[in-house]
Amino acid sequence: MNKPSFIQRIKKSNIKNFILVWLMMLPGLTYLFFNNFLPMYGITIAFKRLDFSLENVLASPYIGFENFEFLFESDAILIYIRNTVLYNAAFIILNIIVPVTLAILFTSIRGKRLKGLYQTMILLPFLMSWVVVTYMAFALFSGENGLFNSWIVANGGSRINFYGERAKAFWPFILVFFNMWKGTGFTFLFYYASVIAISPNLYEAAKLDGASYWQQVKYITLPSIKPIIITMFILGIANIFRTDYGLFYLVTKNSGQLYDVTQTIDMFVFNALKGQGDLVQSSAASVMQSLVGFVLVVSANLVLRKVDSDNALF
Amino acid sequence: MKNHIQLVFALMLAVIATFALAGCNEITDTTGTGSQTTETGTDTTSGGIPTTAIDEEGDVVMAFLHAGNIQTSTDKVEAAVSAYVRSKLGFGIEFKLLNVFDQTTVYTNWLVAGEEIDLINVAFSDPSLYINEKRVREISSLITETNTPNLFAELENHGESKVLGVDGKLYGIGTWESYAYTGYSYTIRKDVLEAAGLYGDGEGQYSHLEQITYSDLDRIFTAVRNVMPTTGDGLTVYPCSAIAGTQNYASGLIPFDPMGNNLLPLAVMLMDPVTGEFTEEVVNYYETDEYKEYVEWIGNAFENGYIHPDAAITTDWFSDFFATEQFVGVLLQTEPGIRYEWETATGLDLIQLPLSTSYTYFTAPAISLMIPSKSERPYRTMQFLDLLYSDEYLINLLQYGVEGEEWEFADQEHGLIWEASEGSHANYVIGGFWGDKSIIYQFVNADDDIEAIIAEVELINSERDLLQATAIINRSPASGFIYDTTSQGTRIRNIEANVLSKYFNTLSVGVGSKGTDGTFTGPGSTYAKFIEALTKAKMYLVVEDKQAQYDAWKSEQEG
Repeated sequence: MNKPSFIQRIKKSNIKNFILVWLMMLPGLTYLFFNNFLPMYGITIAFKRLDFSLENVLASPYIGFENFEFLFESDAILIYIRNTVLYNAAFIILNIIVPVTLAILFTSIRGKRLKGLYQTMILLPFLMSWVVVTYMAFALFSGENGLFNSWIVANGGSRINFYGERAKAFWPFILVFFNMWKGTGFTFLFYYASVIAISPNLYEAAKLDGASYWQQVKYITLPSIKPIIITMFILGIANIFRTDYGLFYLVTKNSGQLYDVTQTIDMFVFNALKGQGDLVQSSAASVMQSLVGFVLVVSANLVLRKVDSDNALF
Repeated sequence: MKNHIQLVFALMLAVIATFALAGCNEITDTTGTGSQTTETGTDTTSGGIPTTAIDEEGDVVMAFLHAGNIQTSTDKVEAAVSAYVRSKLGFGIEFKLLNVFDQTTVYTNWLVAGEEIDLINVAFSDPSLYINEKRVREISSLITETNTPNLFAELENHGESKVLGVDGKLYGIGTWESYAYTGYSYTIRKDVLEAAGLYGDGEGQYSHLEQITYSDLDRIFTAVRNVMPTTGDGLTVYPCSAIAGTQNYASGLIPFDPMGNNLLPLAVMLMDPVTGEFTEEVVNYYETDEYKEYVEWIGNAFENGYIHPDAAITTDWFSDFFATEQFVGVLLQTEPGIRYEWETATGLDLIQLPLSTSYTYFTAPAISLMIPSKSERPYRTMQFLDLLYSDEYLINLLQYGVEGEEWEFADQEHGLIWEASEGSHANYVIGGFWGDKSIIYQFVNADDDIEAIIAEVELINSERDLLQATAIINRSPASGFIYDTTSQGTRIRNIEANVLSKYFNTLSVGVGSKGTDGTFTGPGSTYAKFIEALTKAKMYLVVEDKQAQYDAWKSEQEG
């Protein structure tokens, strides 16, 4: 049987039904186009030698990949890519496990007031600015008057320079902790909303069949919230090459000694632009970041299509 | 529905690809010359002002730098400046306020977005980026075309004021005088030095402007720790004020000519701190024996607890630590005017102990006034700059605010001013403006005896004359040399972004740490990794290139 042509398929699909849908999407798509896609032309900056004296700086001469050379003069870029990917992988995995666990446990809390209190405690860190979190971290780790060092000195020990190279092994855990502590409240809300939307009849039926609490979680709760988990996973993957400025720059105090374990591509781009005002260098790093991120997202989606094609992004 | 979404995304990808590939057919121009906007004509009136200056419209828009706190009367100052300049030149001035810490990104945004701006103040940034990317225009031709006698004379007489491009053309004018000619001093509270028994002319004592070395600093640090271990509030006093970014003792103890516009030293020419003699060999600053000695010394200072434990990462200013008495001595330029400003602000007597003799070298000024290449009023801007040079009222209005509101004369003959009302004193603008420094007023404390102040000011002036005379003798042989970064620019940026950013702060303040076994790991191991990283980044090629260019330039000068 011949496959219908494109025109035939359009005619067949009764496009009138979709016109209203498209009209509804139009403002958003327009915004998306002008804010996200049209400026993509600026990507060409990374391939140019800028000449600001021209009427249009984007008409500067094209010099190929010359601006990318500095990225490969040292192995620093590989370290930054490694840090970016590993941290985000940890964030994605833990940002699913922890909030889901909390959401499930929350359903067991009976007291309304207690529930409200716990919800506030979980959500409050999310509402804090990273600047505040930075000073909280500094209050803990400061070499002079930090809580940990004060305790260590009071017990006869030697001060630890937490922002120094010898303490850099701590920082992956510190950063993951602060990311979890601050971000869990927000993602928890999504999962909790999904969990409470599950029909209670399912649980009642399971109880009648003699299912234990964990069996109910395993066979009812988790499969029911699987779509939202996959959606959040995909969103996390899409941002795998972005990093939070507040976490990686402010909390670490931009300590050079910790760069091996804390510097990411975003931070490198920021430091290059802030410190030197070098637009082309930071543009080249950004392009690199975007390309690698694109490859990762497409790859992740390919894997997801094998596992669960209905929930794949495309 | 899924097909529709796929169609939309396919269309969007096609749009992106079209835009991204749009630049690929452009002619590759590796010379980087691009094209300059050309002037429309240089016909002059009888007053020597070209007709194009008269054709320019609108007020001159200038960047006005602040350090975060915008003075409440800034709009009054703007109005006063605009009215005054309009009465003199026929056009006004508009301020575009800008935080000095945001300037690198904000200037870039302004220039890309085509914001109206005629005069920018490039502070503590490498101006060569602005020159190489044609963000600013050359002003050599404007000087001859706009009848600006003050500018012409200033640049003839004060080479340090110039901002030159590799092509030898002028691109900007420095505001501050080059304090490099005075070097750095360990500037300590006189009362503390006296309490430690180290102030005076006796054996083992130090007097004002007596040059010191590493061993002297060790003595002073130990003595200060003994007489003043804590402040009145129980905070630890740190005799060595080393703080990453603002208090780098290497700069004072290892003087050098940067031979370029880099913010941090790279390939440099060293000077003997005692004799003031420069070598003519370009070296990797960090691989010299002098720097190794410094790393060991500063590491010992850190191990002995003389340096703040968070020195490498604190964002507090050294002036804040001085205010809380945790620092009793700080690193300041050996400039009597700066010392006097500190004494005025703190109410303390300070002693300056230079770490090197005075010297001078040519490089881009720390703060430069430049005209953006897209400025629509370059001629008017030049006229304004020329007026600024010699107009006593204007320059002090910009610097200190409106007379009678912010300040009033303490002694007009000597140019001394004090607060008009309590708490009103502040410099309005960061970096100041260029001009005849002799007409810029000096702030003094309101409570002081004016006769004593005048005597102090005269003493300061004679101190400065002596320092300058010495500095002129110790002038770098590379003065006038401009380093062309075309071949090594990418490498230099990589070294700055990936190597110096990682190691410099740590090494400059000697950060080390004690392990659980009690052993102290100084910056030595960090230093080894730093050198390895510099080698990997091929720093030696930058050194070789600079040496070759310098040798060629030297031959040309001698030939």
